[in-house]
Amino acid sequence: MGNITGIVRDTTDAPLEDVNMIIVSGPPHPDIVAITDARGRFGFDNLRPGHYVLKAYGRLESDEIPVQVRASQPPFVEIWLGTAPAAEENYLIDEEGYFGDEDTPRAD
Amino acid sequence: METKFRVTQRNGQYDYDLPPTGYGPMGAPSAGQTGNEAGTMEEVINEVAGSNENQESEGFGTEATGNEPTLTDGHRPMNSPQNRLTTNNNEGSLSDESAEADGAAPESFYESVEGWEENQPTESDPEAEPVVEASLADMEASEGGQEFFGALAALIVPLAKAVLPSLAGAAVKQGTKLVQGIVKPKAKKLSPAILQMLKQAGVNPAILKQLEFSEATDSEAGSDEATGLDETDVEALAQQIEALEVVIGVDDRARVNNTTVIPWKRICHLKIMAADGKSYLGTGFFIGPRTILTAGHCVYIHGHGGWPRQIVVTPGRNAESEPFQKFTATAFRSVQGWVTNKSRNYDYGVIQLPKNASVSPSIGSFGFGQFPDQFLLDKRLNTAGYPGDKPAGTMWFNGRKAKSVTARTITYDIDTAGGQSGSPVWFKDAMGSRIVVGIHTNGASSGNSATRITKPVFDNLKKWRLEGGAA
Repeated sequence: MGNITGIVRDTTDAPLEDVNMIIVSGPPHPDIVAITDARGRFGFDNLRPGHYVLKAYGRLESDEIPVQVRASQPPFVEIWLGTAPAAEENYLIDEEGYFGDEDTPRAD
Repeated sequence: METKFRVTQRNGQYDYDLPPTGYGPMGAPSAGQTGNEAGTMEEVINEVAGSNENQESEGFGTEATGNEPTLTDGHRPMNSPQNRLTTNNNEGSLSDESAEADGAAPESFYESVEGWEENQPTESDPEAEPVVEASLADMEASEGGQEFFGALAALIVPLAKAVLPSLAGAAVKQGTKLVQGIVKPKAKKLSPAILQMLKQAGVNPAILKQLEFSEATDSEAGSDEATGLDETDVEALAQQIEALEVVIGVDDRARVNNTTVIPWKRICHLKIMAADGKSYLGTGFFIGPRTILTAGHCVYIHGHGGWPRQIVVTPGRNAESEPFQKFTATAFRSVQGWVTNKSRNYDYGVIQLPKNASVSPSIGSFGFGQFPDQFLLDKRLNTAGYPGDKPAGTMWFNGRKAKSVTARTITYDIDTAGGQSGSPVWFKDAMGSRIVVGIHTNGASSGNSATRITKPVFDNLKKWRLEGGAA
């Protein structure tokens, strides 16, 4: 039996914790979620040799990542996952709700 | 933006920091289950299994056979270390005295085994149907509206009620309304002409076949056919059916929005901390007052120290909402076939909550039972759990008929994803009770699968359920 291990980082190479790693397809495998630890590490064990597809679900989800498992050479997967952009705050105040005088700068 | 990734093949084992001695007896390295020796043995077993029909299949991915196992005692129960039974990490847990009071729940909440006698045949006898009934009567409204059009209603109404409430509900409702509009209430039969028109309109032949079958077997249909249909009606009906198919084809899963009702509140989100500190997510479900059934690989994690350090069990979790008290469990059960032999056919186990866990009696538990092959193939099977590809902690449901069954597994095309390991696979009986027939364990491109509840599985579950406070 083989295994898959790996690490998930952000685009600055910092490890990402609490990213859900799942096997999307492949030979029969445990239908379990591996969560990355503080070092961004994850692992799946007890896998039959074959072609698998992994996917990471953090603040953003990754593309599908093909991984081949061989019993003798367990693959190590490194993933650089983008972080979700911060939600844009709304600085627009509607005209009707704006009570300042002309000298007061508007947020826009 | 494309995901940047790199895959490298490494020699040897991974670089996880396993604790020096694992966690407890089963986590400790032993000659039979660690290192290259175990791997080599398994590879050999797998090779043999592939060429010998009588060989018990081993490990994930090896198809289960319909033959008797070579494992002589694969279902022999195995417990997590005894000393953990006294460990109580429950959040907000009560004293033992309170637990005793809690244990005095009305007997009717946890019914005793029915339809079962000790001298019943073994699992090889497909007629044996031991069943533990659900602990509480389901309180859903009875399904109505099926009179007008048996086959199509059988397809649409259950879907509208349960499978696709959010995604396809509108389409189904419209489709149902349309069907009601074009088929007279008393008419239970579609004429060959209408079937032919639907066929020409491109409706899936499989559905048409069901409609034809329904027509052929409906003795009450008589000659009271729907009349007054025009091409527009049929085309609209075809479009509705097609729309329904498209929704199903895209994503069968429907989110469970209210997890505080039966059966959803009996399903639990599991956060598993392995003995080596790694974390995993899975699903489990109540089969007794303090017993949660799940996959074996959720309670004994090969390669990560065996029995987990702890599992946080959250009944009916719904995203950030935790409508029931959650528990931290440290007592687990599985069987030799999984713990020692890593056999997929024995991939099941339970979590036993501490005796002083104050589980709400209103949660109740699923019934479970053993049934013959054809019975399982005829039933629509359902599952719900916590997939990792959806928003955190959200429960998702899906249902479909099984593709195939073997002596120890059930295979289906029901969509699942990582995190749903340990989910119940159940059917709904004529009385509306939900009876679990398998424990979802495996994903696979060739078909997802469950560990089937056979006689030995049933016996162990019954035992564990009693151990967990069932009457």
